[in-house]
Amino acid sequence: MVTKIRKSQRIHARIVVMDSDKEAVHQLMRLLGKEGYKVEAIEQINKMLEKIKNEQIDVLILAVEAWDNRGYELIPTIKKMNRFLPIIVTSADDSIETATRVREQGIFFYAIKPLDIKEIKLALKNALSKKFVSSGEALFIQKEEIQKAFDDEILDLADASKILKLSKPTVSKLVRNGELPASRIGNKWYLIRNQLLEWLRVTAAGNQRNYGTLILETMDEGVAVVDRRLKIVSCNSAYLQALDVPRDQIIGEYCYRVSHRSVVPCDESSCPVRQAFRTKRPVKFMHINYDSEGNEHYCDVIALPMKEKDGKVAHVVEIIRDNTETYNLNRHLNWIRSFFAHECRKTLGPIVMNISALVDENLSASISIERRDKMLLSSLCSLKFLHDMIRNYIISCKYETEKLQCNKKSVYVYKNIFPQIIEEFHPILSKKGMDIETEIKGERPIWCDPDFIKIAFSNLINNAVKYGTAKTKIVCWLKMTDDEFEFNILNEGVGIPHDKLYDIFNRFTRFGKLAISGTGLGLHVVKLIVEMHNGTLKAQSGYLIDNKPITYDEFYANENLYKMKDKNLRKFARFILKIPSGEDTQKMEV
Amino acid sequence: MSQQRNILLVDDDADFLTATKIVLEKSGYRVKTCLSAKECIATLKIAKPDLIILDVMMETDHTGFDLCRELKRDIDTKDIPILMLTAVDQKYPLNFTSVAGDESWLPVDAFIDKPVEAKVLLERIKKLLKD
Repeated sequence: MVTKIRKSQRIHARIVVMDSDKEAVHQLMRLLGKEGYKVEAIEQINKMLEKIKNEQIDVLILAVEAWDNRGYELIPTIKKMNRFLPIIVTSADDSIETATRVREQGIFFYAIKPLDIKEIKLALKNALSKKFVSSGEALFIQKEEIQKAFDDEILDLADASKILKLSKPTVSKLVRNGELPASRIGNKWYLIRNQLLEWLRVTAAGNQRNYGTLILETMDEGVAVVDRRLKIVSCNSAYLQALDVPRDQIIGEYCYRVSHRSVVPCDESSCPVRQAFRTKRPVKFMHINYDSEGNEHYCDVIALPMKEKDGKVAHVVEIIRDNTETYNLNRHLNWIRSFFAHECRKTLGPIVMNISALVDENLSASISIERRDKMLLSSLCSLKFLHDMIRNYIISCKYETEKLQCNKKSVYVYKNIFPQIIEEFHPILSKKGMDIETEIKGERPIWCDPDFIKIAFSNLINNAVKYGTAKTKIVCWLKMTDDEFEFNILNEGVGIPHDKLYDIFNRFTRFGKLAISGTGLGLHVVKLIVEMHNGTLKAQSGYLIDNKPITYDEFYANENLYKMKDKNLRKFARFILKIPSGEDTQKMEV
Repeated sequence: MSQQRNILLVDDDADFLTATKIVLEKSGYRVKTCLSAKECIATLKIAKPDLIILDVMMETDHTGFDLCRELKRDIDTKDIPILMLTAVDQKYPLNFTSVAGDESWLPVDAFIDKPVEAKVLLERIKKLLKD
């Protein structure tokens, strides 16, 4: 019997099918059309990619056979364009190799042809609910459809009493006492099926004498019991949470469908559960699972065989420990360690070369006094860079572990901090032939942590020297009003690329030439310090036209200026630091 | 030293180039410096040095590796010994000193870690130039 779909029942999700098998496309469109889905078939890759780019697709059903049997090769490109687009891959090839290759791309569901329409419908339903929830587009589905989609999930007290096998007054009492999760709409109470089942299970676990189940529930690791057919017979809450799937979709389902979203079982060499069944011994594997968004999950999978009295293994307990966070953290720490070590060694290069030459009797004798001074000056500058690099690294680490303390005092910044910093930079400035021009407005103390403000100034000046053009001026401007303190520093140099203006304060952000050593922490530390003082920090960059700084925005907005874009224009970078002046100005000056 | 030998120093760190240039010149070598791989190739078209001292990380993380492979493929430059000098070993899980000289992977004649003392560098150069 052909079911006619009323207009109101049509589901307004944009589903696109791409397959070189026209018969399969036609069949899928017909079957899904009956269910109320609007399906469009696309043959041209460009057209499909264009739609994905413009976010005109909600679910993509892509066949491995599309694009001369290289359909799966399109997945990385699609993921780059829209990483949230759920992709259902279909294939006529039922080999494990193809399944593994496709699954590793991070797809939503993998289905083997001939397609089971029930399976596709379920995958579509899950994909759409996930997409709309994750992208905040729930309103996209019409209200009527939302109601329809949730009709089966919402229960009244009579339904709940059947499920709980308790009388309706008892259920009503539990609901009124707030022991059972429920919502009151008008005069009636409503419950959500999954919440109810979860409550039942947890309550049952709490009441029962089966300590095994109770212990499982207290575990952070996901635990599932799998039978010989690889179907899941039981699992704990952590397992459900890890897979983000409701209980009723897991129990009785094949484990590979649930954890790998595949219709093909894993090869025994990569499946600890199958190995545990065969060897009757515990098996431990490090497994990389992919979620529907293609993210890698590094999991330890432990499969423990449960032997019956006759010695046969009827079930295997699978324990999944997701170590992704620890793994990523370790990888990041290793990267930081090696990156930092490299920058230190690089900065030490000229220091060791200069000093070792100066202490070598033969070499030293042949070096003129003027040259020796230059070598010492160069070493001193490199040592200052190294010192600042280490200090920034320590501050950044301390901030991460919340160990930084801001001890604010009333400080005359312009006369007690700033001149000292300029003095410290004197060797570096003279080496590069640079100069600092300072303008001071106002004579008011500022409520701040002098040590941190010193570091912020030092990092900003260091940055201006490093990326500044030799033999140019760095312009600093200190302004103190009753409301705020402003520090403005401008240098001519490589400038900041337009697209980096907002990233520049992120940790380890570097741009331009690698030759300029540094860890990319200096500006990040300035930002942390400004945040500790409830202030703001802004970066600007652009071109110097007639010695006047013109920001990129001003430059692109002005037609006359924009005509000069191909000329070799000088660039500038400017940082504007603002912190509240603070009210308590009567305290002792530091 | 009967004849003054020529050394080409390639490193993107200007401070290191200046420091090393002084040390090598005061030890009797004639030194040319380059801040990039591109500059190095252009310099090599004009004159061939007796030794090239090369940094690994310049424009990219592997510029030095690419450059030394290119130089060893080029008939005009393949016989010039290359000393690779870098601070990069901490970034790779490899012992560069042991793979240096592997024609297919790292066709350099020697490898030294940065920072390096003047004396150690000079000894290694002497060995490579067979002085």
